[in-house]
Amino acid sequence: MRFRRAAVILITTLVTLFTVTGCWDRIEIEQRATVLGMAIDPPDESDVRGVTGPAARGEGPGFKVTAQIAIPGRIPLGPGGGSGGAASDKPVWVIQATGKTMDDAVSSLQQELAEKIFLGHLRVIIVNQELAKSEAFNDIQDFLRRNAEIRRLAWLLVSTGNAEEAMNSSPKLERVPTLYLVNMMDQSVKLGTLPNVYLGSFWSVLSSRGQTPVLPVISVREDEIRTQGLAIFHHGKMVGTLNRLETSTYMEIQNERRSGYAVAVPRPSDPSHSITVRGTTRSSKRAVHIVGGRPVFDVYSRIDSNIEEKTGDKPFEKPFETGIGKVQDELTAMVAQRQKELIARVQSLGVDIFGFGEYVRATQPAYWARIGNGKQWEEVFKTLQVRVHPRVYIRRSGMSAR
Amino acid sequence: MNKPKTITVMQFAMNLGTTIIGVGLLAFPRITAQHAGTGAPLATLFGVLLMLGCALMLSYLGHQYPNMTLFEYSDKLLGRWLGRIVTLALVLYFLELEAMAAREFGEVVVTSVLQRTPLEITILIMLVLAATAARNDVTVFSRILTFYMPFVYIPVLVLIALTLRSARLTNILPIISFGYQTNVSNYVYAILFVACLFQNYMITGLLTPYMYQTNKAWKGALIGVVAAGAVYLILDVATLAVFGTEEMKNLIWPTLELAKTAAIPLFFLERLDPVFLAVWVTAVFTAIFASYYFSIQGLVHLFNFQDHRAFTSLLVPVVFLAAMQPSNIVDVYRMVQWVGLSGLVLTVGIPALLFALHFGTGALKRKQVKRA
Amino acid sequence: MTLIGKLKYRKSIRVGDVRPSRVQVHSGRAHGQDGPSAEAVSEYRLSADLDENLAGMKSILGMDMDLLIRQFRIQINHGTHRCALVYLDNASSKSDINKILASLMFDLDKSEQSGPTLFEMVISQCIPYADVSDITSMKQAATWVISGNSVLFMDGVVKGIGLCTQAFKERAIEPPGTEQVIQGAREAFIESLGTNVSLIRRRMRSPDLRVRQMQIGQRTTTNIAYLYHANIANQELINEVERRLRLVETDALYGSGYLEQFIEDNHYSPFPQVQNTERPDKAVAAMLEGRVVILVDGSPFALIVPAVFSQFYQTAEDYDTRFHMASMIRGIRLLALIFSLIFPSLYVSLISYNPEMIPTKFAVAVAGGRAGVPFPAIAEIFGLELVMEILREATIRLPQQIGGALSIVGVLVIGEAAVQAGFVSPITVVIVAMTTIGSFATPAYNAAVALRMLRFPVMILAGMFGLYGVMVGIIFIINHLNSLESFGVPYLSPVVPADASGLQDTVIRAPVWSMRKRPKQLATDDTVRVNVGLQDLAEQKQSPLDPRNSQMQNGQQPNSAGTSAGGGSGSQGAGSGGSGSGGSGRRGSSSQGSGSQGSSSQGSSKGSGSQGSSS
Repeated sequence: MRFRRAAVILITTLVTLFTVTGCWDRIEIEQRATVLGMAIDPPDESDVRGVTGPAARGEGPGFKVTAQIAIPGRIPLGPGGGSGGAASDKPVWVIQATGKTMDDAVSSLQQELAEKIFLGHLRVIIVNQELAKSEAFNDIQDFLRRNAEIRRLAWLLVSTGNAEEAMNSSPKLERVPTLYLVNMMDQSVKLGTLPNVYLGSFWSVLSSRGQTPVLPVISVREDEIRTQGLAIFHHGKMVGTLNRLETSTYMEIQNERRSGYAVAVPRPSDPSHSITVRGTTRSSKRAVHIVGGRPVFDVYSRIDSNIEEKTGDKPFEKPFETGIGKVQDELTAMVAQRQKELIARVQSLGVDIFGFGEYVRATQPAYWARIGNGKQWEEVFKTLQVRVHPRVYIRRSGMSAR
Repeated sequence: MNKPKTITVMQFAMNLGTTIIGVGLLAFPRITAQHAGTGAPLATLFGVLLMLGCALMLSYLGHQYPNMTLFEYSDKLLGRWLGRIVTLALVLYFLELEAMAAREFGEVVVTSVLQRTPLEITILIMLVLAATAARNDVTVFSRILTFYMPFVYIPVLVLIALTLRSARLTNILPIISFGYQTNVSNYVYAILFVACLFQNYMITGLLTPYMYQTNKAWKGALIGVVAAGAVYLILDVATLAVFGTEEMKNLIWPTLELAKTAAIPLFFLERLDPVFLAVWVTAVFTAIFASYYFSIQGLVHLFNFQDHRAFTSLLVPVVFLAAMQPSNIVDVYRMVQWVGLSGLVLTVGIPALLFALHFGTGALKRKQVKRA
Repeated sequence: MTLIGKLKYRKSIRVGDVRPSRVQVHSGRAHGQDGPSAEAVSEYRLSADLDENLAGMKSILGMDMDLLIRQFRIQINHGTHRCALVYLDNASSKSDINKILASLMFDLDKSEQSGPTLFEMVISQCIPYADVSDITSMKQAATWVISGNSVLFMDGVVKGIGLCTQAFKERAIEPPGTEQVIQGAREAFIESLGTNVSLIRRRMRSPDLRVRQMQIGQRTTTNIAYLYHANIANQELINEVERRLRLVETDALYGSGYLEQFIEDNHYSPFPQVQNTERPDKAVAAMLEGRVVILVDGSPFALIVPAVFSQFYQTAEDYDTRFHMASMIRGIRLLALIFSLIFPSLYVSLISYNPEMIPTKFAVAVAGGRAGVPFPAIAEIFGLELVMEILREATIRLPQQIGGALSIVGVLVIGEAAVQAGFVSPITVVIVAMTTIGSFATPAYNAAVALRMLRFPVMILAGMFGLYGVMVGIIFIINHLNSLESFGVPYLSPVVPADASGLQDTVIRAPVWSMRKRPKQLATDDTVRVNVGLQDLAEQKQSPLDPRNSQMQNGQQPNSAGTSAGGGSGSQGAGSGGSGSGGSGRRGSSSQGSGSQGSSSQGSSKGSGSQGSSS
């Protein structure tokens, strides 16, 4: 009796739901235009269509969105499928549209497509640095934040050239350009040459008051895509870049464990030749003291490294034991110099990419409250005293004993 | 009235632990961060302790009246009419609570996965699910809640394990935000909001008469509330550690965003947020089911019915209409907070009142005995 | 309620009875309180006239071609008496009947003897036969005859003698068809109730095994028996089983599955609440857990009540293999069970609702595979699953030789052709195949069928709401499972409500020596089933071939074993135990010392005795 009634309720509900209404959200996978990568550039010409109505307006001239859409069936799985098509049938389709706002551009993109644009597989978003340097960058963030399909683990990159070229490039090792780019970024993180700043972490840092975010920069020239270091942001706008060596220094201070940068020092015995060492692991600690009503930072960083190369035909500095010590000292001095320079540079920009402010907020809440809950942090940071104490250790010398 | 004794202490603890965790899971880190900043975890802890106290009071009363439900002994303690008013208030309140939970979850589903499915459908499915399950007796009610315990707890722990690498210690410091980022009233608000999440602990009053050992009910209440509290606490810590307070204020459902940050390398699934959302349907179901069942049992007591099944389908339209009241998402959360906080008057006040009355009447009786 | 329906035969318990099918009737319940009114009995009372009795038999049984009435005369008690043996051709054993006739007709020595009555004489002296009974009414005689026995009528005697000559044709005992094991017994129940009882008796040689017989089915009067262990099974449970069996009033009982539908708790549930098995060892194990086994004549499946869900992914073999493997395999089976329920629905929700969850490359490949398919994923998979069910059904119905071929043809050709035709995508075929394989991995056929059928509604929900729908469907099913009970035992026990000793035998199968208690939810009278702990097992063990032990013993005191055996008790076990601990006393090594300590702490006479002798 009990079950019969429950069953009747269940069945009538199901049947009515199924027959009367149907499946609202069902969009088959092949009916979705799966956007793998997206490049956002400023529009070339000024006549930007506003498809979402005359009210669509944002800061800046508008956006040119280039999307890379996977063509079903052109990306074969499994071994032996790759020999098929060559360049004639690319596995992706690159389409472009302009709009006054991001949504306007994407709506315009949708007009070119029969299938519904699906951003669930969006892995890389490349923003032209011109846009990144303008107020319009905020609008891009807002569009991405609101969309439930966007992955928090996607890569947001800044390109020095035209971003759309990255969408059109055709790398040789991977048929899908975007996936190649993703692979490249992931590998850079693994090799320790880039910090792991995915979209979600960028947003978290962007919101915080005591730190400003960074994003990886790539340069695109025809088929060649290179990572170029980091872009630094201030109030949501890009204000400068860190080159590769500065990125290394940044990662030293940020306690990014995996280290992958190599650095060359002149040989103590023969300055015309050099010794190259490559970092393996890093660690850093920071401490803050309030001295005279102002915070003072001490940054202790340690880098373990291996000798990778020496030039010149002479054997290693003799004796080997003290020689290594000399090279280490040389390296330590060099790293300290670099760290000081980088900190001075970002201080002059007023951009706390290291999160010293966050550290103050976390450990010195009273002081933080005194500077208006971080509202005056930028001013404090510009004149912040940071003492660096790096140590570089050479641990191994490779297979060579000399 | 004799009630079959079928519930063990552990089962009771699991029931409480399951039913307390509901849809509030998704949004509460934002609301606590808004009001308490980095002090949110501590505020959560205070909220847990507050409700733990209430749960212990209720389980103590359950032991004192080992064969009576909350409604029955409130009749006894408050008198028939006052007891009826209290019961009616609780019934209406838990129906509204259920409506709000269903609505909140409906909003989550419609925003994040089923964007074109009508909100009404998602809400209605949830209500029908609760209504059909509510046809069973208390023993089965308890069994159902027990069964879902791992489905509610394990995903939370997995999620936290998977997102640990994005966590940053500085984000959760300072632990005592009090005086720096927030003021007293905001902090108290955060504590009370966390307490709101625990209102389903009231099923204690329904379950104790069915327990084998009512003298150990307090143990079950302790374990259940502490377990649920631990989940809320570590979730609050995890979201805070990953996002930081400022980012948290931007995220409408921080826990769902946390799930978006989770990734298992080398696994078949690339994104886990739909999985977590799907598994949390069970958490939402158990919470809705428990409030609905509580209301129905209250009604049965109120009208002196023998069979509660008549109410199960009758109340669905009522709850549905209540769920459809808020007009938009902002309204939903205003309403959720308002309803939850005002409900604390009932869910904290009634146990406290009954507790006081129990001792008061007890003392009175002792005095009378002495005089005589 | 007819007379036959209410007749109750009680099986007498005889240990080592080789032919339990010969059911001895102590007393027909015809005169009991359940019996019909006195008029009804008198209507059928036998008369003293043989011809009248025979005419009565003919009228009741009709003039069937297989009804045989053998008339003859016997010389006994100083006279010649007309007799008739009534039996059914082919249902009774011809050789038995010949033997009876021979003993009655040829043993003329008895003609001079005298006894109190003819009936007494015949029954006590003339019939060299084990199973006999008094027949007092015509109806009883008819019942007796139609169950394959024979009835001896004698002129002038108002009673008949029932002779158990039942010999229905039965097939040989074969390996089980549905519950095959790799390691373990190969015997399965057959259609004959008696043989089945004997199969169980062989495995449980306990005087406390109770076999209670009754008959169900007004027209078929099928014999059924319920069996239990008197010291273990809860009395309330036994009473309830009997009560439910008595409630069954039906024309016919075709098999155990038919009976199952009458006695289960929730008649609308798709889930079986009664376990059926064709393995005697499983039935015995169930009885030793405190369950009741019901056997139905004519059905090779025994029913086990109460049943819980976790029984359906367990096999008899689990207890024969090592517990690690058994636990892992059970886990896999449970996974397969869940797969067979939700795999297609998960596929539909991933493809149609949440493609972002699939790895990007794979998603694009799947999209490519689906690009030419004209149907939505739900229609595609629903159709293919349906075809798969048809194929499965067809394979079962076909003769075995063709069945195997057809399933290969079906899977390979239809699948391949459907993909070629662009009817379905290749990945769908993979999914459907995995679902089917998953459902085959479930040992209990009826549970597998339930979940297989339930996957269709879940699929519809997935097609409507994606993962959310799947979850809603699963919650519905789980709620239902939680509300189910089998004879008052919660269906999902011992998981919910949890029971520590019961949990040892769910997905994880604990080592047999650690499962000391019977399942708690069955409220058994005797709760302990394993009396020895791991500690005891380890302490009692010796390593006679270990060179470390033998060298020392042989080298130092060659006849130590003899002395210690003399000191200990005379039994063999004590002798070997004594030699070990005697050695320990001499060596004084710590490893052996623990052994002697263990045995002395147990307070066994042999341990203390041997120690005394060696010191």
